[in-house]
Amino acid sequence: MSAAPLLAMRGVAKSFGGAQALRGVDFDLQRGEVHALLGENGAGKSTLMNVLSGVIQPDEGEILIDGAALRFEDPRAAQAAGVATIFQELDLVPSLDVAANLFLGRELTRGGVLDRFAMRRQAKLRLAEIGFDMDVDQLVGDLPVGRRQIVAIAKALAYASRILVMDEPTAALTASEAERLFAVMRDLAGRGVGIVYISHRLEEVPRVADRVTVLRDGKVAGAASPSAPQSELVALLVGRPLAELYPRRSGGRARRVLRLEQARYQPRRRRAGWRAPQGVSLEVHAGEVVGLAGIMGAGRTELLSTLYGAGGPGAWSGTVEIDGKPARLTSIAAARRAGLAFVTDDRRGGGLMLRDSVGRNLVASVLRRVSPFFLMSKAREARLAGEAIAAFDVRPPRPDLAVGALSGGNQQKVVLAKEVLGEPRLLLLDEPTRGVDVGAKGEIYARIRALAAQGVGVLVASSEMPELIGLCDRIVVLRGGRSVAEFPAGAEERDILEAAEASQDEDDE
Amino acid sequence: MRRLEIRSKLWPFLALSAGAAALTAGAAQAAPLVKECGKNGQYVIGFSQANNAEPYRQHVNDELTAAAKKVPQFTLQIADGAGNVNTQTSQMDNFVTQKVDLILISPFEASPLTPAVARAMKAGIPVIELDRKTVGEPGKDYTAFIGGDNFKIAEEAGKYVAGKLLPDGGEVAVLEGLPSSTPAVERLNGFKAGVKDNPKIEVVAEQAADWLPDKAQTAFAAMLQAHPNIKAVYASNDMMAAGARLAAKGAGKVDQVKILGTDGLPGPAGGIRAVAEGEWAATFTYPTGGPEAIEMAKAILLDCAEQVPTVVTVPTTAITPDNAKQLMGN
Amino acid sequence: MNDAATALKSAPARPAPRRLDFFAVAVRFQSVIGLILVAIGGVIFSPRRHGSILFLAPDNIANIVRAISETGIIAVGMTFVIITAGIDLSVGALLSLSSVLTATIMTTWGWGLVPTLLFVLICGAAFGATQGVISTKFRLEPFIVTLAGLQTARGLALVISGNQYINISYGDGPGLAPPIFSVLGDRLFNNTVPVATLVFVVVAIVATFVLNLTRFGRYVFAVGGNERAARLSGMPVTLVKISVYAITGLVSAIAGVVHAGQFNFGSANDGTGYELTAIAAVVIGGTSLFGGSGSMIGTVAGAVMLGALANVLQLNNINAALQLLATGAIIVLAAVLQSLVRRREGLGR
Repeated sequence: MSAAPLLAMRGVAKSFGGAQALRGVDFDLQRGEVHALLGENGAGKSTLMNVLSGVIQPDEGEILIDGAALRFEDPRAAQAAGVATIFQELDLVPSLDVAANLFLGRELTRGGVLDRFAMRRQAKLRLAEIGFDMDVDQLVGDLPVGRRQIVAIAKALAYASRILVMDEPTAALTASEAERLFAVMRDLAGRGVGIVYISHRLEEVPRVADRVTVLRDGKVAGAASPSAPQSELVALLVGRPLAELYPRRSGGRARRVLRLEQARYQPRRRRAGWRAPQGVSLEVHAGEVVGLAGIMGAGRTELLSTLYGAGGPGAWSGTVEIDGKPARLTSIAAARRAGLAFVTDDRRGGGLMLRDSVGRNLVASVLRRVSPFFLMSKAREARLAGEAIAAFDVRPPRPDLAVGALSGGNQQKVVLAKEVLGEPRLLLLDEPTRGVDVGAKGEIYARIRALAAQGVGVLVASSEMPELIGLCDRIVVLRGGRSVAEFPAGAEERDILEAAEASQDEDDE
Repeated sequence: MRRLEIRSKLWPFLALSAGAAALTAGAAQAAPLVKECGKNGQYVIGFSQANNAEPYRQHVNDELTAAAKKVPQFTLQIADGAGNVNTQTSQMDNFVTQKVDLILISPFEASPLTPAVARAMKAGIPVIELDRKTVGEPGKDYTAFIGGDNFKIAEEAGKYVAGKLLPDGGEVAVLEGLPSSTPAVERLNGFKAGVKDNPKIEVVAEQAADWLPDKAQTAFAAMLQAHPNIKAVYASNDMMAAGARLAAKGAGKVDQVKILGTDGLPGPAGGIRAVAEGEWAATFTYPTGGPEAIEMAKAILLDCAEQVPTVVTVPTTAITPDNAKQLMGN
Repeated sequence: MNDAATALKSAPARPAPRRLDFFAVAVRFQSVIGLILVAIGGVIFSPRRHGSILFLAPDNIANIVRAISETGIIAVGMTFVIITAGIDLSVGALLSLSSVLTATIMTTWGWGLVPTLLFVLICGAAFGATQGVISTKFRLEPFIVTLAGLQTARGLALVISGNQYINISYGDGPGLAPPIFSVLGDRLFNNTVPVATLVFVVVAIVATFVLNLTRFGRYVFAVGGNERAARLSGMPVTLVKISVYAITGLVSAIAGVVHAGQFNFGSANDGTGYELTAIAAVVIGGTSLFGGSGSMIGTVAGAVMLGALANVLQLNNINAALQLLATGAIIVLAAVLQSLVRRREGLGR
């Protein structure tokens, strides 16, 4: 037994086209340790982990495993050395079933023929080993994101890995799923696997990590104990102490912008894993921020998108009123006419034209205002984009930049600003801070409250309970497509979770 | 003096030409067709081919190249029109820009290439049309036409079927070329005219197979299904005849069905070999006119001819089992 | 588009100083640079006559731009479709159908020039729009729908032409076309500027205007860049998709009319392979087959470049096989550059 750490990265540096992404980073990992790697977007976490997993080659520095210097020319070399990585974009094949994905590229055969039986059996075993039981014949594409995550983890573990890199593994998991995952991680660590754990959720760190390293601007900003108070971690992340994360509420109620009374949506076609609203009652007043809580599959996203007319062909029943008048929200055009705006949780997939510029994205939903007689007015476009950039403090404040080149937080600001430009009465927000740095989170919360203060009604769905509690005036809990409870501001997280997961067995697939 | 010399040089060439009668009296034009002519010059001849991707056209290129090689003063440039009137027009225009000394063209289609030929003529470049004509009057709108007569060739094939092959009559089928292309129509009509000599012959089926062997095979197989007693099939080119043979073989009727091709191409895939080996009954050469065209170019460029015959019809040769083996030797 | 270039100027996370990224600029203007390179090559290798460079002779330039006018017109329309991440394979067949229609209407039906042109252009646009409707309504890949459209258009052309090719003769009276129509085959301004090329230039200018300066153009980019985002932003996505196929239908009809006028005939066999030449020009022009980015100027330069390349090779008597090889190599090069850009932008590995 050598005294060398399981993994040691020394002086790793890497630049892209002149931009220095890593500036001499040291990082090590012991056997049986969960080492949390924190940092805002662009701090260099992903680059560092890409170096470790052989996706990119560093300009300088070395990687030692068990004290021996290794060079990973490609991801295969890293895998062979025992480094397994679970990327945020899961490398699974949606059109294959769970078992086939687990054995992708290493299929079991008997006499040259695929041995499906053995693969299914072993797949079940592997999933059971990490505490999950699921139907291995299901297509991965039909699984909710949380389940896909688990398949990806099981797949990575199959490489007899000694080092496991997990990039935001809990981003799409419910609280209870995350807890189960932490148990798996602790169990693996107990067997001597070293785990690098990357996350945005600071509150998870003390639950799972043994050690914390914070990256900032491509350098190690410092190390912290997992039990350190969150404010200390935030200060390390942002480089300065942050004032209050959640803004003060304006309070006061005004006219009712949205009223749902036993609202149901009957889609013309059934979609797997898509839970249409099946009896939702709630109200949003002007100037109010209402939260939607619920576990995955409770129908939060579905409620918001059907309200926005983007739920596919179908019909509403029950009461749906906008500004006190019955509304027929069956198409996006109708919803927009009624004064609704929607910010999707899938920023890259449905929110932005990533290769297009910030300016062009900003005016995308208000093109009519910048194109009198169908001709684009560059002047109006520039003015409107400039205003939005200033109002939301998009950084860098350059409308000509491709929006894909911005950080996650700034991308999210662009998506928000884009919808706000349409001057909506009711703003529907789905996971408004997913994948956003702590710093930018605070700014986004402030903007949401400011909008409410101007008289906009906001309905926001989030899987981060502290966010809902900190931001909202009221929280409505969904379960199985129905509204089941409502909590005032300042409710206890525990109570809300309880309501959301109460009869999980009955609703869970 | 000079004029006599031309005559004598052209004599064997003129003997071939049935259309030599169309020769216009040239006494009025005393100047040579091309000013910068003579035996000591170097000359570029541009040949605008309709489409290289056909065995027959490749055969034309080969014969032209071989004939041009024998004349040290000549450089032959071949441009492939790729079966596209736009491409071929642009190539003609390029020849004019290059100021080549003489242009040969096999136009892909007649009227579309007419303006391009007119531009060349206007630029003072003689244009000899091979195999296919553009619109207009030979000797005026273009210098001369050299080629076979599709109708006559197919008519001869028809007569051969009517007289020699099936004197007692029977069912006959025709495989047509690409519909709406001129040679396809002419060959179809020619053959039908030829078999009229024998009232006991009935044309029971005619299908377009676009000059292609695979389409011909499919079409003829279907014909044999519908008309099991077909005794002969006339294919408007050699490739389709090869396809017809495959279909007959598939139906087990190689002995019953006599196959006739057109073009009489040399080489292992050509019709001459097929007839020599008894696979087909006959094929009728469609002369390329290549050697004749180079002869005419020599008259114009080297001998400073003041006039040339404006229409030269090169006759077909029937390739039958009697002469096929001997032609193979050549 | 312009964003490919700007995106690369910045580092992933932090604002970068405005530096010129030569690679990005090169890719953005790849077809213009390619055209310049081909032109330089043309000048160097051009045969000379009496000391003057044949490649640069006004006649020769006119030859080049005339030869590419029909595929160029089609490529301009194709740019719209490809920016929406679609494809239209029916354009060559539609050109042929339109040329047959034009010839038939003028010579057999005896319509005047203006009604004929209007009718043919409307038919072309309607044919394209129908393909767009089928593709959006039944959620079919445009590849399949337009492949079927290709067959349909050729079939219609054969039926209408009765398997013949239809000559156009000019004059007054039954069976004759208005003589003014033949102007499409002429060259104006002292016999230098081909009319077909003028049509191409006009179509390209209008298309550049529509793509870059109108709301519709913005829709086209948005639909290709992120269809879901475009839909959620309240854009008429379906209508835009139908419209771009109507545009390719319209430009194919324009090219078909030009074809009929240039060559004085309509034929069901013409325009074969034009769809591939047009797609090649668009791709070489820097428009991404993934959609969302592209440039009209690039397409025009790409089309001219392909024409200039063919011309240089023919002037030097280099055979057709090499032209095909060269074109193939250029398309691959353009595609590789595109993929390098995407990788640098971090969109796909």
